[in-house]
Amino acid sequence: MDSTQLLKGTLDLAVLAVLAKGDGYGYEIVTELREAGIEDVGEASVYGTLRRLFDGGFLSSYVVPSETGPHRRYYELTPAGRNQLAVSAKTWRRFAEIMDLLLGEVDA
Amino acid sequence: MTTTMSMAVAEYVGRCFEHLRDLPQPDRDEMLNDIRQIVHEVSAELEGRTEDLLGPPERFVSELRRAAGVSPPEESRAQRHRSHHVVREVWAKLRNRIDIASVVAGTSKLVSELRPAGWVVRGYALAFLVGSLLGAGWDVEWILGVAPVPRSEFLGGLLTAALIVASVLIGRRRPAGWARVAVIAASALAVLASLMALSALRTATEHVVLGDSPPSAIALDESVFPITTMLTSGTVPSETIPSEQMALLWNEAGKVVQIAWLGDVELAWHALTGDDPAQQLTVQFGESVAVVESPSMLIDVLSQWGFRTS
Repeated sequence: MDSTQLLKGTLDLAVLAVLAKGDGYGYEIVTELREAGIEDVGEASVYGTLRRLFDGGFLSSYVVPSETGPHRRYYELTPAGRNQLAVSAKTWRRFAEIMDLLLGEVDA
Repeated sequence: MTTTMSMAVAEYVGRCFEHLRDLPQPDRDEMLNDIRQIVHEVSAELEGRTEDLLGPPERFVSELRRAAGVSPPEESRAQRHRSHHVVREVWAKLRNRIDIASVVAGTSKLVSELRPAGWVVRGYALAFLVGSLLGAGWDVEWILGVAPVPRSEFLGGLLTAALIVASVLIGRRRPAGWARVAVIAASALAVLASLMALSALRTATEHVVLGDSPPSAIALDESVFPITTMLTSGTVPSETIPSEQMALLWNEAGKVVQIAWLGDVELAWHALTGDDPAQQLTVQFGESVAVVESPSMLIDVLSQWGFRTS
Protein backbone atom coordinates (compact mmCIF):
# COMPACT_ATOMS: atom_id res chain seq x y z
CA MET A 1 0.00 0.00 0.00
CA ASP A 2 1.23 3.45 -0.91
CA SER A 3 2.12 5.23 2.30
CA THR A 4 1.42 8.64 0.71
CA GLN A 5 -2.28 7.70 0.64
CA LEU A 6 -2.19 6.95 4.36
CA LEU A 7 -0.30 10.15 5.00
CA LYS A 8 -2.96 12.34 3.39
CA GLY A 9 -5.45 11.46 6.11
CA THR A 10 -3.01 11.64 8.98
CA LEU A 11 -0.68 14.52 8.23
CA ASP A 12 -2.79 16.93 10.32
CA LEU A 13 -2.38 14.69 13.31
CA ALA A 14 1.34 14.21 12.70
CA VAL A 15 1.92 17.95 12.42
CA LEU A 16 -0.10 18.67 15.56
CA ALA A 17 1.87 15.98 17.39
CA VAL A 18 5.21 17.52 16.38
CA LEU A 19 4.03 20.96 17.49
CA ALA A 20 2.84 19.56 20.83
CA LYS A 21 6.52 19.06 21.66
CA GLY A 22 7.29 22.70 21.04
CA ASP A 23 6.86 25.55 18.55
CA GLY A 24 8.40 25.09 15.13
CA TYR A 25 8.58 26.54 11.63
CA GLY A 26 7.66 24.75 8.44
CA TYR A 27 10.96 23.33 7.33
CA GLU A 28 11.85 22.27 10.86
CA ILE A 29 8.61 20.29 11.05
CA VAL A 30 9.34 18.69 7.66
CA THR A 31 12.73 17.59 8.98
CA GLU A 32 11.25 16.19 12.20
CA LEU A 33 8.61 14.21 10.35
CA ARG A 34 11.27 12.76 8.05
CA GLU A 35 13.52 11.88 10.95
CA ALA A 36 10.57 10.20 12.65
CA GLY A 37 10.27 7.92 9.62
CA ILE A 38 7.82 9.64 7.27
CA GLU A 39 10.56 10.05 4.68
CA ASP A 40 8.48 10.93 1.68
CA VAL A 41 6.54 13.78 3.23
CA GLY A 42 6.66 16.80 0.90
CA GLU A 43 7.49 20.35 1.89
CA ALA A 44 4.44 21.65 0.09
CA SER A 45 2.13 19.26 1.98
CA VAL A 46 3.48 20.32 5.35
CA TYR A 47 3.43 24.06 4.63
CA GLY A 48 -0.06 23.79 3.19
CA THR A 49 -1.25 21.80 6.18
CA LEU A 50 0.21 24.38 8.56
CA ARG A 51 -1.60 27.14 6.72
CA ARG A 52 -4.89 25.29 6.83
CA LEU A 53 -4.56 24.45 10.54
CA PHE A 54 -3.68 28.09 11.18
CA ASP A 55 -6.75 29.27 9.23
CA GLY A 56 -8.85 26.82 11.25
CA GLY A 57 -7.67 28.36 14.52
CA PHE A 58 -5.71 25.31 15.65
CA LEU A 59 -2.39 27.14 15.42
CA SER A 60 -1.17 30.62 16.11
CA SER A 61 2.00 31.98 14.60
CA TYR A 62 4.79 34.49 15.02
CA VAL A 63 7.57 35.58 12.75
CA VAL A 64 11.25 35.27 13.57
CA PRO A 65 13.69 37.06 11.25
CA SER A 66 16.47 34.91 9.85
CA GLU A 67 20.02 36.15 9.27
CA THR A 68 20.49 34.14 6.11
CA GLY A 69 17.14 34.10 4.35
CA PRO A 70 13.45 34.90 4.42
CA HIS A 71 11.88 35.21 7.84
CA ARG A 72 10.60 32.08 9.53
CA ARG A 73 7.01 31.73 10.58
CA TYR A 74 6.84 29.74 13.80
CA TYR A 75 3.66 27.92 14.69
CA GLU A 76 2.27 27.17 18.12
CA LEU A 77 -0.69 25.05 19.21
CA THR A 78 -3.73 27.02 20.37
CA PRO A 79 -6.06 25.53 23.02
CA ALA A 80 -8.32 24.47 20.14
CA GLY A 81 -5.27 22.82 18.53
CA ARG A 82 -4.48 20.89 21.71
CA ASN A 83 -8.06 19.77 21.95
CA GLN A 84 -8.04 18.69 18.29
CA LEU A 85 -4.83 16.77 18.86
CA ALA A 86 -6.33 14.94 21.86
CA VAL A 87 -9.49 14.01 19.96
CA SER A 88 -7.63 12.94 16.81
CA ALA A 89 -5.08 10.97 18.81
CA LYS A 90 -7.88 9.01 20.46
CA THR A 91 -9.53 8.29 17.12
CA TRP A 92 -6.24 7.23 15.62
CA ARG A 93 -5.38 4.88 18.50
CA ARG A 94 -8.76 3.18 18.32
CA PHE A 95 -8.40 2.83 14.57
CA ALA A 96 -4.86 1.46 14.90
CA GLU A 97 -6.03 -1.11 17.46
CA ILE A 98 -8.75 -2.29 15.13
CA MET A 99 -6.31 -2.54 12.24
CA ASP A 100 -3.89 -4.49 14.45
CA LEU A 101 -6.66 -6.91 15.40
CA LEU A 102 -7.65 -7.36 11.77
CA LEU A 103 -4.08 -7.86 10.70
CA GLY A 104 -3.18 -9.99 13.71
CA GLU A 105 -3.16 -13.26 11.83
CA VAL A 106 -1.69 -11.98 8.60
CA ASP A 107 1.95 -12.64 7.87
CA ALA A 108 3.77 -9.42 7.16
CA MET B 1 27.02 32.27 -3.86
CA THR B 2 24.32 34.17 -2.04
CA THR B 3 23.41 35.84 -5.30
CA THR B 4 23.10 32.55 -7.14
CA MET B 5 20.87 31.24 -4.41
CA SER B 6 18.72 34.36 -4.48
CA MET B 7 18.38 33.99 -8.21
CA ALA B 8 17.25 30.40 -7.84
CA VAL B 9 14.69 31.52 -5.30
CA ALA B 10 13.51 34.39 -7.47
CA GLU B 11 13.12 32.29 -10.59
CA TYR B 12 11.37 29.36 -9.01
CA VAL B 13 9.10 31.56 -6.92
CA GLY B 14 8.34 33.61 -10.02
CA ARG B 15 7.19 30.54 -11.86
CA CYS B 16 5.13 29.42 -8.87
CA PHE B 17 3.51 32.85 -8.85
CA GLU B 18 1.91 32.01 -12.20
CA HIS B 19 -0.12 29.29 -10.52
CA LEU B 20 -1.25 31.52 -7.66
CA ARG B 21 -2.58 34.39 -9.75
CA ASP B 22 -6.20 33.51 -9.13
CA LEU B 23 -5.86 33.89 -5.36
CA PRO B 24 -6.73 37.07 -3.49
CA GLN B 25 -3.59 39.07 -2.80
CA PRO B 26 -3.14 38.39 0.94
CA ASP B 27 -3.38 34.63 0.40
CA ARG B 28 -1.10 34.81 -2.59
CA ASP B 29 1.51 36.83 -0.73
CA GLU B 30 1.46 34.46 2.21
CA MET B 31 1.84 31.44 -0.02
CA LEU B 32 4.66 33.13 -1.91
CA ASN B 33 6.35 33.71 1.43
CA ASP B 34 6.01 30.04 2.27
CA ILE B 35 7.43 29.06 -1.11
CA ARG B 36 10.37 31.44 -0.74
CA GLN B 37 11.10 29.97 2.64
CA ILE B 38 10.93 26.40 1.37
CA VAL B 39 13.14 27.11 -1.64
CA HIS B 40 15.61 28.93 0.54
CA GLU B 41 15.84 26.11 3.11
CA VAL B 42 16.02 23.38 0.50
CA SER B 43 18.72 25.06 -1.56
CA ALA B 44 20.71 25.85 1.60
CA GLU B 45 20.66 22.18 2.52
CA LEU B 46 20.91 20.36 -0.79
CA GLU B 47 22.88 20.83 -3.99
CA GLY B 48 21.10 20.96 -7.30
CA ARG B 49 18.53 22.85 -9.30
CA THR B 50 15.48 23.92 -7.35
CA GLU B 51 13.24 22.23 -9.87
CA ASP B 52 15.03 18.91 -9.34
CA LEU B 53 14.69 19.24 -5.60
CA LEU B 54 11.09 20.36 -5.41
CA GLY B 55 9.60 19.28 -8.71
CA PRO B 56 8.00 21.48 -11.36
CA PRO B 57 6.41 24.66 -9.95
CA GLU B 58 2.98 23.67 -11.20
CA ARG B 59 2.98 20.40 -9.28
CA PHE B 60 4.58 21.99 -6.25
CA VAL B 61 1.95 24.73 -6.04
CA SER B 62 -0.91 22.36 -6.65
CA GLU B 63 0.29 20.20 -3.73
CA LEU B 64 0.65 23.27 -1.51
CA ARG B 65 -2.83 24.43 -2.42
CA ARG B 66 -4.37 21.01 -1.95
CA ALA B 67 -2.85 20.72 1.53
CA ALA B 68 -3.85 24.27 2.40
CA GLY B 69 -7.41 23.65 1.25
CA VAL B 70 -7.31 26.50 -1.28
CA SER B 71 -9.25 25.61 -4.39
CA PRO B 72 -7.08 25.07 -7.47
CA PRO B 73 -7.57 27.23 -10.58
CA GLU B 74 -9.81 24.65 -12.32
CA GLU B 75 -12.39 24.94 -9.57
CA SER B 76 -12.34 28.73 -9.57
CA ARG B 77 -12.87 28.62 -13.31
CA ALA B 78 -15.86 26.37 -12.77
CA GLN B 79 -17.16 28.84 -10.19
CA ARG B 80 -16.72 31.70 -12.62
CA HIS B 81 -18.64 29.73 -15.17
CA ARG B 82 -21.46 29.25 -12.69
CA SER B 83 -21.57 32.92 -11.76
CA HIS B 84 -21.62 33.80 -15.45
CA HIS B 85 -24.68 31.63 -15.77
CA VAL B 86 -26.34 33.36 -12.82
CA VAL B 87 -25.69 36.78 -14.38
CA ARG B 88 -27.36 35.66 -17.59
CA GLU B 89 -30.43 34.43 -15.72
CA VAL B 90 -30.79 37.66 -13.78
CA TRP B 91 -30.42 39.65 -16.98
CA ALA B 92 -33.14 37.60 -18.69
CA LYS B 93 -35.51 38.24 -15.78
CA LEU B 94 -34.75 41.96 -15.78
CA ARG B 95 -35.30 42.24 -19.51
CA ASN B 96 -38.78 40.80 -19.16
CA ARG B 97 -39.70 43.39 -16.56
CA ILE B 98 -38.36 46.52 -18.21
CA ASP B 99 -40.85 48.72 -20.02
CA ILE B 100 -39.13 49.74 -23.27
CA ALA B 101 -41.13 52.99 -23.70
CA SER B 102 -40.16 54.33 -20.30
CA VAL B 103 -36.54 53.43 -20.96
CA VAL B 104 -36.57 55.48 -24.17
CA ALA B 105 -38.20 58.45 -22.42
CA GLY B 106 -35.70 58.22 -19.57
CA THR B 107 -32.76 58.02 -21.96
CA SER B 108 -33.71 61.14 -23.91
CA LYS B 109 -34.14 63.02 -20.63
CA LEU B 110 -30.74 61.75 -19.54
CA VAL B 111 -29.19 62.84 -22.84
CA SER B 112 -30.47 66.40 -22.46
CA GLU B 113 -29.25 66.47 -18.88
CA LEU B 114 -25.86 65.27 -19.97
CA ARG B 115 -25.52 67.94 -22.67
CA PRO B 116 -23.30 70.25 -20.56
CA ALA B 117 -20.93 67.34 -19.96
CA GLY B 118 -20.82 66.92 -23.74
CA TRP B 119 -19.75 70.57 -24.09
CA VAL B 120 -16.89 69.97 -21.68
CA VAL B 121 -15.80 66.89 -23.60
CA ARG B 122 -15.96 68.90 -26.82
CA GLY B 123 -13.71 71.53 -25.28
CA TYR B 124 -11.21 68.87 -24.36
CA ALA B 125 -11.44 67.42 -27.84
CA LEU B 126 -10.75 70.88 -29.28
CA ALA B 127 -7.67 71.09 -27.07
CA PHE B 128 -6.40 67.87 -28.58
CA LEU B 129 -7.03 69.29 -32.04
CA VAL B 130 -5.39 72.64 -31.37
CA GLY B 131 -2.53 71.00 -29.55
CA SER B 132 -1.74 68.89 -32.57
CA LEU B 133 -2.09 71.87 -34.96
CA LEU B 134 0.29 73.95 -32.83
CA GLY B 135 2.99 71.37 -33.34
CA ALA B 136 2.68 69.80 -29.96
CA GLY B 137 1.97 66.75 -32.12
CA TRP B 138 0.12 64.08 -30.31
CA ASP B 139 1.86 65.08 -27.17
CA VAL B 140 -0.99 64.24 -24.93
CA GLU B 141 0.81 65.31 -21.80
CA TRP B 142 1.11 68.82 -23.16
CA ILE B 143 -2.61 69.00 -23.77
CA LEU B 144 -3.52 67.50 -20.43
CA GLY B 145 -1.35 70.12 -18.77
CA VAL B 146 1.11 67.64 -17.35
CA ALA B 147 3.96 68.04 -19.83
CA PRO B 148 7.39 67.61 -18.26
CA VAL B 149 8.65 70.95 -19.62
CA PRO B 150 7.74 73.77 -17.23
CA ARG B 151 5.72 76.70 -18.65
CA SER B 152 4.68 74.69 -21.71
CA GLU B 153 2.78 72.57 -19.23
CA PHE B 154 1.11 75.69 -17.89
CA LEU B 155 0.28 76.87 -21.41
CA GLY B 156 -1.23 73.56 -22.37
CA GLY B 157 -3.38 73.48 -19.28
CA LEU B 158 -4.48 77.09 -19.81
CA LEU B 159 -5.40 76.45 -23.42
CA THR B 160 -7.39 73.39 -22.48
CA ALA B 161 -9.30 75.30 -19.81
CA ALA B 162 -10.02 78.19 -22.22
CA LEU B 163 -11.35 75.87 -24.89
CA ILE B 164 -13.60 74.07 -22.43
CA VAL B 165 -15.06 77.41 -21.29
CA ALA B 166 -15.55 78.48 -24.93
CA SER B 167 -17.26 75.21 -25.79
CA VAL B 168 -19.66 75.55 -22.88
CA LEU B 169 -20.45 79.17 -23.78
CA ILE B 170 -21.20 78.23 -27.39
CA GLY B 171 -23.38 75.36 -26.20
CA ARG B 172 -25.42 77.65 -23.93
CA ARG B 173 -26.06 80.19 -26.68
CA ARG B 174 -27.64 77.55 -28.97
CA PRO B 175 -26.35 79.00 -32.28
CA ALA B 176 -28.68 78.89 -35.32
CA GLY B 177 -28.28 78.78 -39.11
CA TRP B 178 -24.78 78.70 -40.57
CA ALA B 179 -23.23 79.16 -37.15
CA ARG B 180 -24.93 75.97 -36.06
CA VAL B 181 -23.54 74.05 -39.07
CA ALA B 182 -20.06 75.42 -38.36
CA VAL B 183 -20.26 74.40 -34.70
CA ILE B 184 -21.41 70.89 -35.57
CA ALA B 185 -18.63 70.52 -38.14
CA ALA B 186 -16.01 71.79 -35.69
CA SER B 187 -17.32 69.46 -32.99
CA ALA B 188 -17.18 66.47 -35.30
CA LEU B 189 -13.63 67.36 -36.33
CA ALA B 190 -12.60 67.81 -32.70
CA VAL B 191 -14.11 64.48 -31.69
CA LEU B 192 -12.33 62.77 -34.59
CA ALA B 193 -9.06 64.42 -33.59
CA SER B 194 -9.49 63.43 -29.97
CA LEU B 195 -10.18 59.84 -30.96
CA MET B 196 -6.91 59.83 -32.88
CA ALA B 197 -5.18 61.51 -29.97
CA LEU B 198 -6.62 58.94 -27.60
CA SER B 199 -5.16 56.13 -29.64
CA ALA B 200 -1.89 58.04 -29.47
CA LEU B 201 -2.39 58.27 -25.70
CA ARG B 202 -2.44 54.50 -25.53
CA THR B 203 0.85 54.32 -27.35
CA ALA B 204 2.14 57.23 -25.34
CA THR B 205 1.57 55.58 -21.98
CA GLU B 206 3.20 52.44 -23.27
CA HIS B 207 6.21 54.13 -24.76
CA VAL B 208 6.62 57.52 -23.20
CA VAL B 209 10.07 57.99 -21.77
CA LEU B 210 10.43 60.09 -18.70
CA GLY B 211 13.62 60.96 -16.95
CA ASP B 212 16.85 60.69 -18.94
CA SER B 213 16.64 61.21 -22.66
CA PRO B 214 17.83 58.33 -24.82
CA PRO B 215 21.49 58.27 -25.81
CA SER B 216 21.48 59.61 -29.38
CA ALA B 217 23.52 56.72 -30.75
CA ILE B 218 20.86 54.25 -29.85
CA ALA B 219 17.70 54.19 -31.89
CA LEU B 220 14.47 53.95 -30.04
CA ASP B 221 12.85 50.75 -31.16
CA GLU B 222 9.38 50.54 -29.80
CA SER B 223 8.63 47.23 -31.38
CA VAL B 224 11.39 45.31 -29.64
CA PHE B 225 9.90 44.93 -26.23
CA PRO B 226 6.48 45.21 -24.72
CA ILE B 227 6.24 47.61 -21.85
CA THR B 228 7.40 46.14 -18.60
CA THR B 229 4.74 46.11 -16.02
CA MET B 230 5.51 45.98 -12.41
CA LEU B 231 3.24 44.45 -9.90
CA THR B 232 4.18 44.99 -6.34
CA SER B 233 2.75 43.49 -3.23
CA GLY B 234 1.67 47.00 -2.35
CA THR B 235 0.35 47.45 -5.91
CA VAL B 236 2.21 50.65 -6.64
CA PRO B 237 1.36 51.57 -10.23
CA SER B 238 4.41 52.57 -12.22
CA GLU B 239 2.83 55.97 -12.96
CA THR B 240 3.29 56.96 -9.35
CA ILE B 241 7.07 56.73 -9.49
CA PRO B 242 8.58 60.23 -9.61
CA SER B 243 10.03 61.00 -13.03
CA GLU B 244 13.53 61.55 -11.66
CA GLN B 245 13.49 57.90 -10.67
CA MET B 246 12.63 56.77 -14.12
CA ALA B 247 15.27 56.06 -16.65
CA LEU B 248 15.98 54.19 -19.80
CA LEU B 249 16.98 50.61 -19.89
CA TRP B 250 18.44 48.93 -22.87
CA ASN B 251 19.36 45.36 -23.55
CA GLU B 252 22.63 43.79 -24.62
CA ALA B 253 21.76 44.32 -28.27
CA GLY B 254 21.64 48.05 -27.61
CA LYS B 255 17.92 48.26 -28.12
CA VAL B 256 16.29 50.78 -25.88
CA VAL B 257 13.52 49.58 -23.72
CA GLN B 258 11.50 52.24 -22.05
CA ILE B 259 10.83 51.27 -18.54
CA ALA B 260 9.04 53.22 -15.93
CA TRP B 261 11.71 53.41 -13.35
CA LEU B 262 15.35 52.99 -12.34
CA GLY B 263 18.32 55.20 -12.86
CA ASP B 264 18.99 54.62 -9.25
CA VAL B 265 17.79 51.17 -8.35
CA GLU B 266 18.06 51.84 -4.63
CA LEU B 267 15.93 54.96 -4.93
CA ALA B 268 13.39 53.24 -7.11
CA TRP B 269 13.30 50.36 -4.72
CA HIS B 270 12.48 52.59 -1.79
CA ALA B 271 9.88 54.44 -3.81
CA LEU B 272 8.16 51.17 -4.56
CA THR B 273 8.50 49.39 -1.27
CA GLY B 274 8.02 52.37 0.99
CA ASP B 275 11.05 51.32 3.03
CA ASP B 276 9.21 48.31 4.37
CA PRO B 277 11.99 45.74 4.84
CA ALA B 278 9.56 42.84 4.51
CA GLN B 279 8.29 44.15 1.19
CA GLN B 280 9.02 42.21 -1.98
CA LEU B 281 8.48 43.12 -5.58
CA THR B 282 7.09 40.99 -8.30
CA VAL B 283 8.75 42.05 -11.51
CA GLN B 284 7.30 41.01 -14.79
CA PHE B 285 8.87 41.26 -18.18
CA GLY B 286 6.99 39.65 -21.03
CA GLU B 287 6.49 36.07 -19.98
CA SER B 288 9.09 36.14 -17.22
CA VAL B 289 8.17 36.84 -13.66
CA ALA B 290 10.43 37.03 -10.65
CA VAL B 291 9.88 37.89 -7.04
CA VAL B 292 12.71 39.94 -5.64
CA GLU B 293 13.37 41.20 -2.18
CA SER B 294 16.29 43.57 -2.48
CA PRO B 295 17.68 46.13 -4.94
CA SER B 296 20.63 43.88 -5.68
CA MET B 297 18.33 40.98 -6.49
CA LEU B 298 16.37 43.26 -8.75
CA ILE B 299 19.53 44.16 -10.63
CA ASP B 300 20.43 40.49 -10.90
CA VAL B 301 17.06 39.61 -12.33
CA LEU B 302 17.09 42.49 -14.77
CA SER B 303 20.55 41.67 -16.03
CA GLN B 304 19.51 38.04 -16.45
CA TRP B 305 16.74 39.26 -18.69
CA GLY B 306 19.28 41.06 -20.84
CA PHE B 307 18.84 44.56 -19.39
CA ARG B 308 21.61 46.95 -18.68
CA THR B 309 20.61 49.49 -16.10
CA SER B 310 21.66 53.06 -16.75
